Amino acid sequence: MSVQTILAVALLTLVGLIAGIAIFVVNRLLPKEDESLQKASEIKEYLPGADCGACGHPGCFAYAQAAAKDSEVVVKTPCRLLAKDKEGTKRLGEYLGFDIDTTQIGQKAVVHCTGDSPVIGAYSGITTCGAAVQVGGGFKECPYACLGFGDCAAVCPADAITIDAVRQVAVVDWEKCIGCGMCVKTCPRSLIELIPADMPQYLGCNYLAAKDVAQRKKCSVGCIHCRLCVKASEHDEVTWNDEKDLPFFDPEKKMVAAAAIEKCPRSIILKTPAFPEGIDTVAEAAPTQEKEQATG
Amino acid sequence: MSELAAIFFGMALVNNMVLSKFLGLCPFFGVSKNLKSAFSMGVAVLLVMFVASAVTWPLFHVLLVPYGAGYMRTVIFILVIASLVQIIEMTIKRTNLTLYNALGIYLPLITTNCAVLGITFINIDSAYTFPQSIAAALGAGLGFTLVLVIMSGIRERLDLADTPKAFRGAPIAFITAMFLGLAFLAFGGMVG
Amino acid sequence: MQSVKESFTNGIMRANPTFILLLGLCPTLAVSTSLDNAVGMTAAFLFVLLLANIIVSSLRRFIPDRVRIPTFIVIIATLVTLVDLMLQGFVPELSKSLGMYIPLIVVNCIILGRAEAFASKNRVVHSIADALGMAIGFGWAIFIVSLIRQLLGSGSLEFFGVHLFTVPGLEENPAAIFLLPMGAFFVIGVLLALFRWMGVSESE
Repeated sequence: MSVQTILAVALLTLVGLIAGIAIFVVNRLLPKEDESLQKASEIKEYLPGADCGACGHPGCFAYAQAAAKDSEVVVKTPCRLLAKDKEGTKRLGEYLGFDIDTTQIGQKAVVHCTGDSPVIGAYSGITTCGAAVQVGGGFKECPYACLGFGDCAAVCPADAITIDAVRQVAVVDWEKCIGCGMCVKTCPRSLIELIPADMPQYLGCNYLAAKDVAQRKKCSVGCIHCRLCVKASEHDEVTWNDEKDLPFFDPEKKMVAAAAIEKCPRSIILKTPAFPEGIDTVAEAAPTQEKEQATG
Repeated sequence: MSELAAIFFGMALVNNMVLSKFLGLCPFFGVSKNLKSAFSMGVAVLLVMFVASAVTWPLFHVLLVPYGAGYMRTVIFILVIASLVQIIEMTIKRTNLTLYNALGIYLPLITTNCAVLGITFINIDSAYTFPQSIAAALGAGLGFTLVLVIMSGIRERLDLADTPKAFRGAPIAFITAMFLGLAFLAFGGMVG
Repeated sequence: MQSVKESFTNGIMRANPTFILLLGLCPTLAVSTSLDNAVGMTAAFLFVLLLANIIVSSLRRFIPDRVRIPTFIVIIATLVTLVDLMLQGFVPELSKSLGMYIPLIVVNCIILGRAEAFASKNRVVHSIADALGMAIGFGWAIFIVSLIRQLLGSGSLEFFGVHLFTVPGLEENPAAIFLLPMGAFFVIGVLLALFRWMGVSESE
């Protein structure tokens, strides 16, 4: 055995030993692995994993960590996506050791557009709303219309948004909506708004007359800013938002504006699923006028 | 000092790890699909490169060279890097959970990353002094991160474009890398 | 359970490490500037992969599961050091041309990957076949890339000093970009697309 061989083996052994000892020492010196990390990983298994932020925590893992430290978190800031899944809620409740009650009023999303605006040009670019709004002010006549490419539907963790293919508009299903607000952030035209789940009506239009766009008209059911709704309100159910030049329904008071719905000449004040039964009005949930789509 | 700066910028831009030395290609094409993970991977690589250079350089010059065992460097370096990554991962996991969630998962991938082993070899082959090898490591790590971030931005856009079917995924990514490399050629005269 | 023949042919076409698995691209792109380099790299690669597979496969029942990867790495690192020294001793020119990419074989994903995915779970005979197949697959891939790059990048083909072929008109004004890293990216991007177009299945 030559010196070189012994030297090589010795060096390798020495370095190996030092590395091993270093790992061992560091292992001992470091604070113990945060126990809540283990528990958090376990809790995370019961969560939907959509990272929607509806609970108020930055993601499902952060929620799991908070819940691992204080299990009351699941009641104080419940996971609204999980609330839709009764089985899942029960399983999490079993793991944590108490029943989780998830009934809550919360908020729901509405799209301020009925999609009646005609298409004025053939668009063949990237099929996302974010891209389409940047090309010539959008391919629909109304500069505030929903373009219907479904950026909002793609980001919805509860699959509550569908795209009406005929009108090319997004529609929110209040049954499934959990009010997380991800669609609100995604819409490039800020057409989606979160309103209280017991709000009886909303405006199906977002044409801001205060910001008219040359040569671009609103659709045949767009708000014409006539203020008949305000005049029809006996108890101030509807007031006027001067900044937007659109009617305003106070989310604090949540009054039923049956008279306004009836009087609106465009029938553009739409009922939500929370509208009380038995009150007769003209407007249905969505106008059904047929529109010819001009394909360029 | 200006020499250190020259080495730093040289490693980051002129002799970029990925674009001109072909090191670290696997994570370059694997992790560059979205911006956030690309940035996290880049930072993790920078960290490991820095620590690895700081440890292997003295090891080489103090332990290997005096005993004529320079040829042992491959085995010794890889052992050291593997252990270092293990220690770094443990430390981050136990002390800073947020950081661990952000980049801890990329650390095991870096053990067999040619970029890290490559920079340690470059330090030796270019006969750098200790400060120079640290500057080189930092520059290389930053250059790697830069290219990775740019690449992920481009790839996110490419996903939406109408690429011919045969080119989708890896092929178009490589061709993009070519253009990126061409652009970086412009830095050629920068460091004299 | 694959037959020996299947293990062999796997690496050549169906699971070609370079074009299908997209592993070990660093050496392929880095040294493929000339045919000599390609041959040298393939030879080194074959040596390391074959012996690594044999050793790992023979010892697979004795290596504890938790220290699996470090053990593989040490075995591969030793083999790589061997190959590096042999090249430096016998073909110093080639060794200088290949530079640090020979020692970098130790972190080549193909070798570690085959040791981990195949050799540690299969018998020695299969592992040998797999190693040969993978090496041939890697070999012809790097050969093609080098062929294209050298032909277009310098206008002529030379093989260990033997002048083979000259493209008329290209030798005076070669497309030097192909010798640069960017040319390598381009060549492999186009080749990958070609493969995909020809319909060879892939795992991406």
